[in-house]
Amino acid sequence: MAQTKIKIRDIWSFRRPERVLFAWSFLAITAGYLMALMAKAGRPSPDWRELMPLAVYLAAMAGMHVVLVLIRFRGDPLLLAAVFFLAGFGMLAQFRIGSFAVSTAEKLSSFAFPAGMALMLIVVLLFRNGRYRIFRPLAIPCALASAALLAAILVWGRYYRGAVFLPGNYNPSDLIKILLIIFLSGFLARRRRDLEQTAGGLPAPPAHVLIPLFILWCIPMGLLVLQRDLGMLVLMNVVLIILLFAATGRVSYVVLGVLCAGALLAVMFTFSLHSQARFLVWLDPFQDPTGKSWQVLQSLSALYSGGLWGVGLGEGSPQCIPIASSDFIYAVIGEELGFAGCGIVLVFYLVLFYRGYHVAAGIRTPFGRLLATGIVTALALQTLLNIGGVTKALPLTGITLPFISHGGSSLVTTFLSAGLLLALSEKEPPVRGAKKKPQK
Amino acid sequence: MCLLPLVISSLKILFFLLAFWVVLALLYYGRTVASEKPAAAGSPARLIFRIVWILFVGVYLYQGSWQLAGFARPAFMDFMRTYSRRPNNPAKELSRGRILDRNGVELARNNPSDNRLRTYPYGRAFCHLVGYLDPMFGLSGLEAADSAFLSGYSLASRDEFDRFSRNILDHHRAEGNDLLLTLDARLQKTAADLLKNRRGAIVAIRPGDSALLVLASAPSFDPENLDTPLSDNGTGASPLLNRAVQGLYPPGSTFKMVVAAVALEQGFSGQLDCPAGGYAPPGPVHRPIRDHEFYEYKRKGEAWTGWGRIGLDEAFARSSNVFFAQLGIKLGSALLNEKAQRFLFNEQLVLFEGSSGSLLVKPSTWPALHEHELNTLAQQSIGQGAMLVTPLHMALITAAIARDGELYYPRVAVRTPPRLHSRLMSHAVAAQLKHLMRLTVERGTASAANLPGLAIAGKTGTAQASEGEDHSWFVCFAPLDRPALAIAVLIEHGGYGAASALPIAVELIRKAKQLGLLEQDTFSQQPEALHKPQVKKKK
Repeated sequence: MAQTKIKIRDIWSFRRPERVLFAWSFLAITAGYLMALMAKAGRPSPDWRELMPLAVYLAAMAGMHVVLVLIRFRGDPLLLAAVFFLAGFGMLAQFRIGSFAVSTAEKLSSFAFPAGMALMLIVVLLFRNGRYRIFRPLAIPCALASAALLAAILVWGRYYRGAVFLPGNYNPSDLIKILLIIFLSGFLARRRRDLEQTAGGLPAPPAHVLIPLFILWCIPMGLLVLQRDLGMLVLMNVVLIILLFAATGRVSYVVLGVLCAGALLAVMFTFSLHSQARFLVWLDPFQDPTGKSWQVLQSLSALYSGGLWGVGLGEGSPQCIPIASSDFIYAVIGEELGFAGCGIVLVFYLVLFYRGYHVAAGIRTPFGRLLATGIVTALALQTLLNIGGVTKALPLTGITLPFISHGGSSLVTTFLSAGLLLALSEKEPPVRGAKKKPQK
Repeated sequence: MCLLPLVISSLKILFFLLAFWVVLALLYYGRTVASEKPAAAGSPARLIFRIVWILFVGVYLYQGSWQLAGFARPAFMDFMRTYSRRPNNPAKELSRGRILDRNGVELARNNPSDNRLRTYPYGRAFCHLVGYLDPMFGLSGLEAADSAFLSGYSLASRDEFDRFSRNILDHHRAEGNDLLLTLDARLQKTAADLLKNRRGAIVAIRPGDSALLVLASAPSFDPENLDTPLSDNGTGASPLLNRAVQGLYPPGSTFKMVVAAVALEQGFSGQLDCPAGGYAPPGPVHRPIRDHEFYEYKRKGEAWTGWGRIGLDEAFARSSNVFFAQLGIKLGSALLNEKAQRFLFNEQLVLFEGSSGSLLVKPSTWPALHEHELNTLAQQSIGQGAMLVTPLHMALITAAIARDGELYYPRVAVRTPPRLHSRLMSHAVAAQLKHLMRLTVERGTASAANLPGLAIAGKTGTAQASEGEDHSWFVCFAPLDRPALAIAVLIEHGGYGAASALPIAVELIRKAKQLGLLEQDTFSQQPEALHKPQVKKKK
C-alpha cells in the first residue's frame, strides 16, 4: 500500500498547527467555562461535576487529533482548528444558556457536541482519499431523495412556531441541504460545458440540460415554499447561483440570478401582505415594538447592553430574548462577551470559510471543487443570514448559527458538512516521492 | 464575598487574552500553511470568498452601529428604557422629565422605586391629555407626543447630543426635560369632579393668549392601572377617548353664534315672523322646524302662540329655531359653505406639536350644502343635520368672540408661542355678538347663569343625538368687559343645554374667580416662566 510510506512522525509534525491551536483554544474555552460556572453558582467553588461537558469536549478533541494522526490524515489542519474552536464556543454558549442542565429532559444534548465530532470523524474516514467521488453518480437520486424527504415531512410533520417538525421535534430539512448540494455539484460538473454556452452575453444552455435541472430543482423548492421555510429557500437558491457561477465562471449567471431574485421579491411584496408587513417591520422596527419587532429589538438591546467587552459570561439576561438558545444565540454572545467577543467568533468563521474556499480551489476534479464550494457557501450563508437577522442587518429568516445554535438536526448537519469538507481537503502527501493515485 | 467578582473579571480578561492569542496563532499558521500550496489566483472560489468577507465585515460594522453607538438612536433608547428588563440596562439610568402645570404642580413624574414607571399625581383628571407610559401598553397623549423631549434626547442640537451621549456612556443618571403646560391643575381637577359619573367634555381657554386652562373628558381612566379601561369593551363608555378633541357632536344651538356672526357681517337687521306652527322651507314637504317651547307647551297640554315678529336679539336670546332656519335660507348655501371653512370646519388642527409626534384634533365636519337642498340648509343653520363639531372647536370660536374676533391656535405647552390663525369677524360684529350672548344670560335661555359679580355671556345648545336623550351644550365667556376665560361644556345625553351643561360651566367660573383667574388682564400675554432644559448629575 502506498499509504504506509508516510511516516507517523511526518504526519505528527504536519498536524502540529492543529495541536497547538487545539491547546490554546481549550484554555480559552476553559477560562470562559469557569467564568460562566462561577457566575451561575454565585461562589468561586461551584459544583465541579458541572465540568463534565468540558471534559467530554477535551476528550473528543484530543481523541480526534490522535485518530487523525494514526490514520495519517493529510487533510487541512487549520480547517479543523477553526471547527474545534467554534464547537467549543458553541458548547460554552449552550452551557451558559442552561441547555445541559441535568434536571431537564434534554439530557442527551450535553453529548450533542461530542456526538457531532464523532460523526465528523466517521465521515472523514469514509470519504477521505478521494472516495467522496462515490457521490458523483448519485446526483439525481439525491435530488429525488430530498424531494421525498420534504414530502414526508409535509405529510407526517406538524407545525410548530411557523416551521414543520417530525415527531420528536426533529426537523430533518437541514439534511436536505447536503443532498441538494450533492445533486447540484454532480449535475453541474457533468453539464458544465453545456452551461458555459452563451448567446449575446447571456447564458444559453441547451434545453436538454436546462429543463431537467429546472424540474429537479423546482420540486424541492416548491415543497420548501409549502413548508414556509423561507430561510432555507433563500439559502439554497443563493447556493444554486454561486455554484452555477463556480461551475462555468460566467458572472452573467450571478447577474441573472440577482435579477430573478429581485423580481420574485417584488412579486412577493405586492401579493403577500404578510411578507410586506415583515419587510416593513425590518425597515422600521419601532412601528410595532411590542409585537412583530419585539424579538429583534430585544436582541439589539442585548447587544447594546453588552457594549465593547460584554458583561461577562453568565452575567447577561438571555431570558429577555425569545428563543435565545437557537436562533438568537449570537445576541447572547454579544451581550456577555461584547463586540470584541463577537469579533473573535467572526474571525474563526472567516478562517473556516477561507480555508474551505482554499480547499475548493485546490481540488482538481470539477465535482469535488463544486461540492466543496457548495458546502462552504451554504455554511457561510447560514452564518450570514443568522447574524444579519440578529443584528437587523437583514430581515429575520429563522436560520440557525452553525456549530453554536442549539438544535440536534442543525448541529448534526453542520458537523456532517465539516466532515465532508475535511475529507475533500486531503490531497497529495507532503512527503516527497510518495506519489500515488487517489483510490477509486 | 468580594472574591467572586474579582475571580470572574480576571477570568474574563484571561479569556480575551487567550482568545486573541489563538486568533494570532491562527493567522500566523494560516500564512505558513497557505504558502505550501500555489495560490490558485482568479479561481471562482477566491472571488466568492472575497465577497463573503466583505459581507461579513459589513454586517459586523452594522452590528457596531447598534452595539457601540445605539445611543444615537432616540427611538431605540426609548425602547430600551421602557421594555428592556435587563438589570444591567444602560438606559435604565435615564429618567424622564416631569410634566408640570402652569404653576409647576407635578402631573407626571418618575416612580421613585422603579425609574421605568410613571406616577400621575392627578391621575384621572389629566389622563387623556397627559396620557400614560406603561411597560405593557406603551405611550399615549403628551407622554407619547413629546417623548424625546421628556427623555432628554431629542438630539435637536449638537450640544444636547453630546451631553446625552456622555451621560449614557458614563452610566450617569441623566434627567430629561420638564414639560410645562398652560393648564391649571386646580381648575382641571374641578372640571373632572364636575364631570364625574357623566359622559362629556370641558374645555376652558384663556382668550388672551389662547392657552388652554382645562381640557377634561369623561369617563376617564387610571393611567397607572390600564387593565380595566382596555378590557372594558362594549359599554360604549370608551374611557380612553378624549372627547374634548376627538369627540364629534352636532353643535345644536351653539352654532347660532356662527350664523348670527355671518348675518351681522352681512348687515342683517330686520325682523322675521316666528309662528308657533314653525317653519318649513319651500320645496319637498318636510316636518316644519319648530321652537322647543312649542313642544314644551304641547307636553303640558297647552297651546303656544309663538314669538311673532322678532329681531335677531330676541331670536338669539330665545334660541329660536324658526328664526335661524329662515335666516339660514336668507343667507344662502354658498355663503354658509364659504363661512364654514373660515370658522374652522373641515380643517385639521394640531393641539400639540411635540418632539416625537403631534396630538391632533379631529376635524369638525361641514358637508357642503347644495343650492336646492333647502331643508338641509335650514337644518344646518340650527346646528343639526350631518355637521359635527368637537368641544374644543366650540371653545375656540367662543374665545375668538371674546377676543374681539381674533382666532388663535390652541396651545397646551408654555413653550408653544401664541399664534394668530385668522380674524373670524370684525371688531364691531364681535362686539354685537358679545352683546347677544350677554342678553341670552340676562333674559334668555341661559338666565340661570345670570349671577351677580360673574358677568357671564353665553349660549346654550341642545343637540338631537342619533339615539337617546339630547346632548347638552353650553359655551360662555366671563367677565363680559375683560374676558379672561372662555368655556365650552358638552354633556352627552344631558338634555337641555341649560339643564346640565350650564351649571357645570357656572361652577367652573366660580372656581376660577376664587382662584383669581378672572382678575388677569386679558389681552396682555402672561410672562410665563421660560422653561430651560436641566440636567442633574448624581453619582
